[in-house]
Amino acid sequence: MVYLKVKNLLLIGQCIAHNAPSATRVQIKMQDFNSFLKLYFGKHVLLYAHDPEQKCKDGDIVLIRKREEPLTKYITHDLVKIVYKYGDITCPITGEKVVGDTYRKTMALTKELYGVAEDGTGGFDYDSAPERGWQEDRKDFSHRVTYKKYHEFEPGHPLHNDPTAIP
Amino acid sequence: MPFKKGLAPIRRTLQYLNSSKLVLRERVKVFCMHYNMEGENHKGTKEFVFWHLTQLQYKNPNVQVLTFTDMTPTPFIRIFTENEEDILVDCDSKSREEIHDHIKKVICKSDEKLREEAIEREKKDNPANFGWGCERQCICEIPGQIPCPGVVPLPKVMRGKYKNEEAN
Repeated sequence: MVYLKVKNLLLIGQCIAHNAPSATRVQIKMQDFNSFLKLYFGKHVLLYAHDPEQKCKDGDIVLIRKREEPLTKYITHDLVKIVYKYGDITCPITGEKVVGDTYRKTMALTKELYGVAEDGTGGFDYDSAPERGWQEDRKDFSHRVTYKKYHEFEPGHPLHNDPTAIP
Repeated sequence: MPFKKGLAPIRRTLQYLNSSKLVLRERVKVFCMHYNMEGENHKGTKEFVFWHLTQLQYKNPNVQVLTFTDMTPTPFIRIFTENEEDILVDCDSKSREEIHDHIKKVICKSDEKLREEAIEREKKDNPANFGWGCERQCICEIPGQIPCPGVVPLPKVMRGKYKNEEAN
C-alpha cells in the first residue's frame, strides 16, 4: 500500500462512518503520479476533522482545513463547511434543489402531469420528508463503524445484540 | 512513446504534460469539475477533463483536482481558494477551448508571469554555487582550497577547541 503524505491546506472529501464523538472521518481522493506510466492513480486518504456540533452525516461532501497544530493525535483538520449534503444537493449555479441530472421542480411537475396511481403512495415526497438521520440509533445504524461479530453476549451485556456487529 | 495504451496515449507523455499553460494562482487550493456522462451540454466539459485535467494536476501538484459525475443537471467548475472563497465557472454548452481559455484568463498565472518565474528559476542554477544539488559538493574539492578536514586534519591554529583552550 502506498502511503500518501497529505500537506494541502484545504481539502474536499466525503464523510464516512466513525466512532469519534467530536470529529468526522473524511475520505479524500488524492491523485498519485506514477512517473513510469505517466498516469495519475486515485488513492484514498482517511482524515479526522474537528466537528464538535456533529453537523456532518456520513456521505456529505465537506471542505476541511489543516490545523496549525493537531487537536489530538488523530484530529489534524478542522471542518470548514458542508459543500453538498448527501441526498439534498443544491446546484450552486442555479440555486435549485437537484437529484442526479434532474431538478426537483421538474420531478414534481412530471408527477403532477402524469398523476399518482390510485393504489400507490406517489413516490418519495421531498417537501414533507423529515431530516436525514431521524431513525439514527433506532433503526439506522449505518453511521457507526461495523465490526465482525466475534462473540454472542448474554442478555444484559452492553454488546448483546449489537446492531453494528456483522455476523 | 512506449506503452501506447489507452485512448489518446499522447496525454501520457512528459512533453504533453509540460506544455500546458494552466498553472493556477497560488491562492487556489481545490479544483472540482462537475459534469455528467450523458448530455450534449456536458460534452465540452467531458472533453476538457479528458484532455486537460492530468495536465492541470501535473502543473499544480499542491492543488487537489477532483471530478464529480452525475450530481447536477448542468456542468460547472468549482474552485476553492485559501480564504475559503468559492469561485464558480458555468460550463453549460461550452466547448473545451472556451472552458480552457476562460480558466486560463481568470484563475491561472498569465504567460508573462510564467516567463518571469522561468527566468528566476534559471538564475538560481548558478554554476558558481556548491553544495547539495549543485555540480560540486564541497569547497574542499576545488584545487587551491584547503583539503577536506576529514582526510587531512586542519592545523591547530584553525581548530576551535585549541584556540578556546589557550584562551582559558
